[in-house]
Amino acid sequence: MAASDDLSSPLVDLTDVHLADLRAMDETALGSALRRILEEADRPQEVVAGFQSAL
Amino acid sequence: MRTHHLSARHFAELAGGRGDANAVATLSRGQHSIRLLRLHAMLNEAGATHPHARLEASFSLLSAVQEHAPAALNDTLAEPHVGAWLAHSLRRTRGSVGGGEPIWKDLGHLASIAATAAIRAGLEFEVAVPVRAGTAVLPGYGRATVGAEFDWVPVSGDGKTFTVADVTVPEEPDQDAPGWEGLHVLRARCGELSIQVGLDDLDPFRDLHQLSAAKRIDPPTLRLWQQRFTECWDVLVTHHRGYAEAISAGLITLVPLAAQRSTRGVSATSMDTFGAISLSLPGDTLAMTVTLIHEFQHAKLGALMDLIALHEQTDTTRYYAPWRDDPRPLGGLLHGAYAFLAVVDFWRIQRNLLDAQQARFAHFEFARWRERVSRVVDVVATSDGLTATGQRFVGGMRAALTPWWDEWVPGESAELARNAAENHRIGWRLRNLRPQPESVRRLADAWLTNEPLPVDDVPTEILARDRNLVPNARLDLLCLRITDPDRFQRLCGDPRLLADEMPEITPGDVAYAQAHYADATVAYRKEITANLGSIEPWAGLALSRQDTHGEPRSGLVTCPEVVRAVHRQAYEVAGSWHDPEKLAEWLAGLRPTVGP
Repeated sequence: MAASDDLSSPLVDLTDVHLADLRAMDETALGSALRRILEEADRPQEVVAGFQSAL
Repeated sequence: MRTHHLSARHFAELAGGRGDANAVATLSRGQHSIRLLRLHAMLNEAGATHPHARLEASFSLLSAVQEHAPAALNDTLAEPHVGAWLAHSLRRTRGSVGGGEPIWKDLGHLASIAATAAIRAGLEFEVAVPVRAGTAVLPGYGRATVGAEFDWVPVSGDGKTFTVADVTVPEEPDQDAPGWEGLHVLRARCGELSIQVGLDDLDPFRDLHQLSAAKRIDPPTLRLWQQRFTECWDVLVTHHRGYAEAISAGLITLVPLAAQRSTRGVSATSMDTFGAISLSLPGDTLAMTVTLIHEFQHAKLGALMDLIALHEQTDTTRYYAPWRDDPRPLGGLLHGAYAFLAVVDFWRIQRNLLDAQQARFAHFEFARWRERVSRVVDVVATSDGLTATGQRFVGGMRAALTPWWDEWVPGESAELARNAAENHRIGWRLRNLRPQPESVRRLADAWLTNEPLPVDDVPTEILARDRNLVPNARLDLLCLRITDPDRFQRLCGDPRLLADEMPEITPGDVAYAQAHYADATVAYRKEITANLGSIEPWAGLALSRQDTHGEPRSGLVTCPEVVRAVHRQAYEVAGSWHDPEKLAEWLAGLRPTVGP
């Protein structure tokens, strides 16, 4: 499949970020991903996915 | 800033229900970023406003760990219950959840996380950690009993030996020692593929969803978990290798739950705790295997949805999910379909490996989940709520299912699968749909005065409900007919034994499970009039009539909730019971407006 089918996530990649640098980052740098995290935190918690086996 | 990516190959594998260790590693990296974002947000919100939580000292220690041994920090952040704590603490700082403990104690848990990371890194350090119920927990490590008189106790070490207050952390922290309860570890190897997971009965944030997490389990129970896990791993690696590789790459912790009923296993996965699965001890090896496969699907999909939106958050429609008793949003529907896609695959393989008796059940499971997942995939694919990537994903699910429809299923198992599907669908309508009261009154009045149907359909509301698992004794007994015919006969011939083992079972259910449909019809009729609010006898009556008369278009089948409501309304007006079957025949011309 062509590389153009690869998917780009809006989630910032913090894999190699130093914690001290992370503290200093503002909302502009962290973008929509941070806003989404905050929106999720304000929503009622989705009940976990569950499974009841009849076995 | 750089953002995460997912290759087309990994996306396609995941959409088909699979995904190898590399795909799972990509998902894990996304979770790492999410956790750091939550940490950042929580510190911003709470750092200045909750000085008693001592967040700055904890953060400094975490930074020191990262400088010295970044892998120790990453491994600690990957602990599933660190994820649970981060999501919870951010919600607490923003006031969207409460908690049994003061907020400083919940937030102060960051110190326990930092201490664990520092021990992993072999640092010389000292930090104060909060005390809960006289104990201090190091997540993913163990629990020290330190005394309820303290709010905080020091954790310290010289890089080799570490103490929590005056309790020494043993060199092998999964071992118990004076004052120390180690995190249980389950290990298994099959060929070249090995796995090691924690069995966490300690972490204070392991049960935020209140699923009845088991308290400290005893050594014989631990041995049972290990035995079952070893056997399960053999089955996974030998016959379901792709799933085994994904699970070995992403599963970190199992949380034992207290079993709800002796014959049922319960399990769950939280979207905040990637790497953890909560489950009661499954009854046998296959039950554990299918549970791990099912739950890890939820983990994969949740982590994928954290990277890429598959559906719009604004969609508020509620749908029928054939595996849940409550109406589900689109995201929940997709989750269930994705988890059961792998369950279909599991039984597809498994039914060719089992002896004839066990294979009957495997055929049944394969047939019923294939049918249900396919129906739901159709519903999801045609909903307006999917994103373009979501459409692509559901297309991948469908592509995985399609060839499985060429596979043969024995008649008895196929019939039972259809029956189980109807059982659930009719019960769901009865529990979740509320016909408009005005229409119900009009219908009851017309019925009582022998008039023709006054309407073609009844506006019907799907009720928003909390999750409520409804045991289905009729279906349990019916399954027993093929899974264990001897036990089925024994139970049906001994009412006292049956009542003891299946307290919810009714005479109608027993007659129905034995295919005595005429007797079942009579019994269910009695059960309906004996209990005004009852639901299950209506489903039983519909199924018995369907099997006796082969009348798929009875109102009992197409809109049982309307039949039940009109039946009750007519009783309230006339003061006497009317024949539900005749009423259902009269209502058969109604067109259902919502639901399955």
